[in-house]
Amino acid sequence: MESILTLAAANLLSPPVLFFFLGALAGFARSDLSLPDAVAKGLSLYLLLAIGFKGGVAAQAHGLTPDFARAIGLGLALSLAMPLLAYGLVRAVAAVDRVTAAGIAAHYGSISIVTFVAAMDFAEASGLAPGRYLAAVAAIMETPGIVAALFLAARGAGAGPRLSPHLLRDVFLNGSIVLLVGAFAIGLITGDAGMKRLDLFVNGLFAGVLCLFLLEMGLVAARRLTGGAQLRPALVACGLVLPLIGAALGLGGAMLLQIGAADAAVLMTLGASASYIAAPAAIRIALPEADPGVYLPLSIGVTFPFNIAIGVPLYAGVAVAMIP
Amino acid sequence: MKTHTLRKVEIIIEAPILRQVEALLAASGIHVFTVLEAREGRGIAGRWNDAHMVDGMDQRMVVAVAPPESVAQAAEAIAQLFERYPGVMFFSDVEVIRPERF
Repeated sequence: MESILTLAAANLLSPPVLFFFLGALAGFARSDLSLPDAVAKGLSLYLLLAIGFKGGVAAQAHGLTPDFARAIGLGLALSLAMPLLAYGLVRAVAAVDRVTAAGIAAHYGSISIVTFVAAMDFAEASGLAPGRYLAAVAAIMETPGIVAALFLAARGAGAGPRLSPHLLRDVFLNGSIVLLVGAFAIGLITGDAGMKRLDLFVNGLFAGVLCLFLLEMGLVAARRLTGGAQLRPALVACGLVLPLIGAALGLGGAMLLQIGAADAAVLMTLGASASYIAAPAAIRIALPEADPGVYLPLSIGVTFPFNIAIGVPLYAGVAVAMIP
Repeated sequence: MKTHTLRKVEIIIEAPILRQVEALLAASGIHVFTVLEAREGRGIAGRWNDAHMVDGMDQRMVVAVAPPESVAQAAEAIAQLFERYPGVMFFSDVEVIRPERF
């Protein structure tokens, strides 16, 4: 327990998390602090490129190891389980309508790449050494949960033909997924030689860019919570319980598959995280009737801050305590 | 200077359905248009902004000028799209000096 608290304190006082809080405070105080739209999108692209490339280089160095394969299996299982659990929970606890529940399920079935980056950053700073191939697992986990949630919606009475080839193309070719997978492939092809040429870019600048991006995420989270959010206490509770359920499933799966503590900590975070890039775009196309005033603030305003501030060190601490 | 009267349609929609709107314009014979990023505003659901990385809520404004019959045909098709998706359309008569460009 002491170890978890120490990790939590270290995380709360780390520059990325403090920049997140700074952004959130500025947002709540209605400061005019903002990043230009193009800069925010550029930072997001940089993070995807860097994490994908580093993952590809690591995968090339180690190959498709049993650890990597087990992580992919667990990631896929989490992606399919989380939408079902999220859907059931928000329907039962918060009496959310069927379509909005499916929208929420898509967000919790998919993952947050920045939460993943924060978990990797935290694990490495804490002396754990998670496999960088987990970037590929994160990419794999982006879409199955969204598709599973759309199946849930299509099951509902009066649902229209929502799983068109056009929609599936939009889901699978979402820009963030294309860049993450593409950068992973480039890392895989170029390996260490490629890393020598990009080292300063993908490693040297990484921590600073993450801080800037989290500053922006703090602003966005505050804006989502103050700008017409329709979150009842039961929904907020769901936004706090769902990541814990995802992390618990990740822990159980990791123990079952004999995945090491470092990888388990990151996989728990992936299971706990909720999307705010790939899922919203897909849901606005497929389920425009789902209420964005519910699923966006829940994902960005509740689950994301919880994971960044408390979840990431909590999951790492529990993984280290439970997995020898 | 001689001018010609055409119809202008301005359509504000969320970014994910931009391609569908463009396809409906093309199917109505409207191949010339401009897409602008809408920054922020207030609608019946309250204030909205571009929300940066959250692609699903980005708003776009499509501006097209075309003969009245093409605009009417596009409007009918896009109105059907608006039965499921949020969005607004505005129409007006405009004067242009080179009608062959539309």
